[in-house]
Amino acid sequence: MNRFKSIKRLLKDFRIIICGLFILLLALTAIFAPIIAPHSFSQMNTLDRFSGPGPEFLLGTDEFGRDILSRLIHGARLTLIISLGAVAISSVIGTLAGLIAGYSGGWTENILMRLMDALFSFPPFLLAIFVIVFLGPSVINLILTIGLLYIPRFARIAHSSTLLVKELEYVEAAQALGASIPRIIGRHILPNIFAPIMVQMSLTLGAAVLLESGLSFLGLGPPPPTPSWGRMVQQSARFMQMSPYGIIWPSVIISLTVLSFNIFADAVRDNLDPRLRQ
Amino acid sequence: MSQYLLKRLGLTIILLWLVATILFYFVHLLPGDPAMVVLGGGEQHQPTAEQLARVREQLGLEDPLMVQYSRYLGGLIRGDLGNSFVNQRPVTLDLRIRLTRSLQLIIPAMVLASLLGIFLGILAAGRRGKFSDFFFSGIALTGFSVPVFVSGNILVLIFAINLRVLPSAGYANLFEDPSRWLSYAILPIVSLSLAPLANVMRMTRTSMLEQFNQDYVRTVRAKGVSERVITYRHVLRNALLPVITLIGMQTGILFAGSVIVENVFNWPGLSTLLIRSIGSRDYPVIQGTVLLTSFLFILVNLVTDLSYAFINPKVRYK
Amino acid sequence: MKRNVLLTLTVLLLTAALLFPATQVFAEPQSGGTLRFGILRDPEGFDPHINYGTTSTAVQGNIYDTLIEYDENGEFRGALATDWEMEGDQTYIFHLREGVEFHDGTPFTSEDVIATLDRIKDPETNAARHGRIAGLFNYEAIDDYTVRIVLREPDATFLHDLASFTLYIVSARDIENGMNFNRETNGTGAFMLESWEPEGEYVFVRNPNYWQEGLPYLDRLIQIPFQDDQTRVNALISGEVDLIEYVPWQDFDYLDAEFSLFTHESLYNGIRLNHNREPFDQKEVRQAMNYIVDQQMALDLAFGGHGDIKSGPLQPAGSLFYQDELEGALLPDHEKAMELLAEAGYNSPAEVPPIEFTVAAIAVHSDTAEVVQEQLQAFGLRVNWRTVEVSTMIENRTSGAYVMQQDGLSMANPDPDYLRFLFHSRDGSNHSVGVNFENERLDELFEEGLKTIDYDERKAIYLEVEKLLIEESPWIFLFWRPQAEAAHPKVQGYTTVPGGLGMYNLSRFNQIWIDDSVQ
Repeated sequence: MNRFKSIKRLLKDFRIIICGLFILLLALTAIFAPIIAPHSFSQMNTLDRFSGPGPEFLLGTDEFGRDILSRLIHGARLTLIISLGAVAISSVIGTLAGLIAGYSGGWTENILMRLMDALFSFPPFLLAIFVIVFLGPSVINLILTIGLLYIPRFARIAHSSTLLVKELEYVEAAQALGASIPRIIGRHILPNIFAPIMVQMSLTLGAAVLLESGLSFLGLGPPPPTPSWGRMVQQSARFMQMSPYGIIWPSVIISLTVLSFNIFADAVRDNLDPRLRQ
Repeated sequence: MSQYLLKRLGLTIILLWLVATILFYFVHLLPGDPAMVVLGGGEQHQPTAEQLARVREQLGLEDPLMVQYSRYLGGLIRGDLGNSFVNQRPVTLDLRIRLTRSLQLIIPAMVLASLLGIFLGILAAGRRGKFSDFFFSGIALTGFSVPVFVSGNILVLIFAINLRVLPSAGYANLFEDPSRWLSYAILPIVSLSLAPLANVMRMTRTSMLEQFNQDYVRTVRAKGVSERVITYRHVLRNALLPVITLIGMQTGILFAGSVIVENVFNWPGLSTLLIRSIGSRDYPVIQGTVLLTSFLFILVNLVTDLSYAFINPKVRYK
Repeated sequence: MKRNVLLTLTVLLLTAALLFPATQVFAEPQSGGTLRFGILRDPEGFDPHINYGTTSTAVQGNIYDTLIEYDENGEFRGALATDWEMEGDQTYIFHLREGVEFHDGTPFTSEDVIATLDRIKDPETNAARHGRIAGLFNYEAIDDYTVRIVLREPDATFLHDLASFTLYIVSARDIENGMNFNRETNGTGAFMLESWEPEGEYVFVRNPNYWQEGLPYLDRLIQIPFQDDQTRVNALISGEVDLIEYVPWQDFDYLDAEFSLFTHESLYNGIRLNHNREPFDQKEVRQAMNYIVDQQMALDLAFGGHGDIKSGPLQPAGSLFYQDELEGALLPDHEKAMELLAEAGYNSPAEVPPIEFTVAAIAVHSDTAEVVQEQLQAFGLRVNWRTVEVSTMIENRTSGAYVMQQDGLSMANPDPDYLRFLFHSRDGSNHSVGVNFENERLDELFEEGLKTIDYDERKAIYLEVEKLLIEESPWIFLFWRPQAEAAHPKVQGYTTVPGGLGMYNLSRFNQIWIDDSVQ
């Protein structure tokens, strides 16, 4: 397998370029939020409430007279930290669990994978609400909860891919030559399941942004003053009649972010998964 | 087949018991005292320790947890979910009323999503690579990328606030006043249906394309059968199998996923009840609502699996 | 074209003719008609002795009556008791109204009053006023229409208790028969509950044997829950209902112009400070908090400026015990706050340890809290927000498991004695219980104020109470938040009770009538 070739192919797909750029831009915004943001995200102003877009406040202000643009910029930080954190947890734990289950087989496999089934059989959003109500909403708890929810996704993929790869001749050969298990997994299995896991990570990032904003919308998101996109929508929804901007901008940005992750995943899959390439 | 059926049913019952048990302990460990809520929250006079203890005793909360647990499980087997702490009504009564209302959104949303999704999926598959395929796929991606509270609120902004043709939120009884019901239900149904619609459409498209590449299609095509006949007579039938599975799974997800839509549109269904009961620590109502939702979720998945196994015998022997 | 002009003119004239009677001030009340009333949420139960929160008042209050009630000026008038007198400082004699019947036809007598008090006294009932009635020295029926109640000590607020909700009189026979008061109703009030459906319509019909001659005017009263604020407002605008409660402040201006808006103050927001936890263990820090927070700005941002700030006096403006002298005592003063912090040993706000701020996830609390948090942070303090649910927030009141907690409460009665329910060290006081708040002088004053009957003396006592509270600063005192009902102009006879008694507006539907001439 020629890595350069596949990366080159990826870069030829305009979807990857556009979505990748958007995600990169978002990440840069998040990192440099305090520098980029034109105003304070929390400063309130009695006189400038509900202003529309203008030179002073590019996207307008919310019901407390706060600058919507600055809030979106700082919100990007929170959203990315939570979704990246959650995906890091679920992908590492899930992939490991799937690898171990697939490689060792027998009881270990049975127990691990039934556990994943059980986790999968809870309605996900309901489970998230419950865990958050139980633990209390904070950034760490959100990362843990969302991370936990998406573990089975990775476990299943890693599991089935491992099963397939395990049967391949060269893996069997390496085994016969006495290669250690970590070595076999590291050298032979991991590179082969890399593509589907990548795709799943991108999809899960999108799903995590959705879930986080949904929880925030229900008031179960990270606490103020740090702005969260979902909470911005929730708060502004009450004032839709006075000014629609408070609700429009965060809605647009949430949708674009999720969309980018999903299209990115789609494009990577189309290009890297030989079965689907047509 | 019957052995498979038995095994699946057994697993489902164990799963339900697990859910019920975890739920029970979870709910009883939640911070917050239901007795306090029953006594009016201490608005003016703070209830005394004795008062709180008495209410807790009346609610059966002073018994050892195991006793409460067996009482709860015993009730479950008889189909008795207990009475609400707050209004003393049987939980089953409220659940029945609420479920009917939730289904009034979920069923139409799923029907809409399935029919339109399959139709658009076929359309897109038939024009693979053309502009309309690209267009529909884009729409589908957007459909499942936009959160329901965003689509819901945008719909409200357009139809209720700008055009003023539909109410922004509320509920009317379907059986008493169907036209008013429709005016309230149409926006939540549409926003609820977007994600499953997108999923169904994508799945239909992919599945159709996979079938088109199969050998039998080439054979039929070689015989000179028209594309139209190939699509609808041969390909579609086989391609719909995974789509049906997906529709089942999506329905299951909607049972829990309607939380936000009910919240945005103030639809007094199951989710609204759940949120309220969590707020007032009304244990029997929380347990009842989550159990019912999980039960439906698991049931829909079971039926989907079973019907899949029925259609495709290979699955049974896995 | 000419015809069109004529037509327009006719329509205009007709409209004018239709509209004019509406503006007549002295219109005669008309009997008949239905009032559709949009309420906040499903009434959780009907038991007239249990407090289900303010939303049940409209149900309980129109089915049942109290012995005495508040009139339009917030003063007492007879209801089921025609009049009353005092023997000495501690004994009240009530003369009951004769010829009153319960909805089922049972005549009302002193037996019912005694049975009601017994029921409230019975701990098994979990009645809201259990403590109050259990603490009475004695009560007895002298004859069928006279009741004597003896207090342990003189109490200036006793009549307020009798006039309040959760002290409705029920029938002795119903208690004996073990009626389920939570599900069934039988009162002496203007309306009888005919049918109801959870989350659906609660239908009341006129009580034909109501003891007030000619009342109520309405034939039917239908209460429908609308949990969402905007939905409730829309229901009024679309004509689906004629009257709504809990109008969100965003709609005040619009509704005031097009409909009848009835605003009042009976709920207040404040922030509890736990004096056992750093940094509020130092009085100066607590005092500083009151000088940092700008109540007017908080009210402007969280409630669009509707409502009334607690700039010093802790009673609502217009109430009998409003202390003019304290006006401005709580206005923001950052220099003073800095000085106070320095006295406490903090040379800059950044030295103060981070403060955990507990907030329940409901808009009337969290909007206020968000502004206050911003103000404290802008001053340089570090504030960590902790979202909790309402039930946890309520439990914290007793457990004291908070450093600083956003809260909102209603007044028990218009008497300044309501402060005793918060800050007296015992008596199950709302604030003190959780954090062991105790100030001996304050306790003395509260007890004295309760016993004192003379108005001027009492006012002087409560002036000292309020000064002491400002000095102690157990709370950040914020504001009376705005409350309102709105009605279609055809709804006439809606009366509001002043002095923070707005909650009683909704138990007075016997006076309401529908003016058919208003469209």
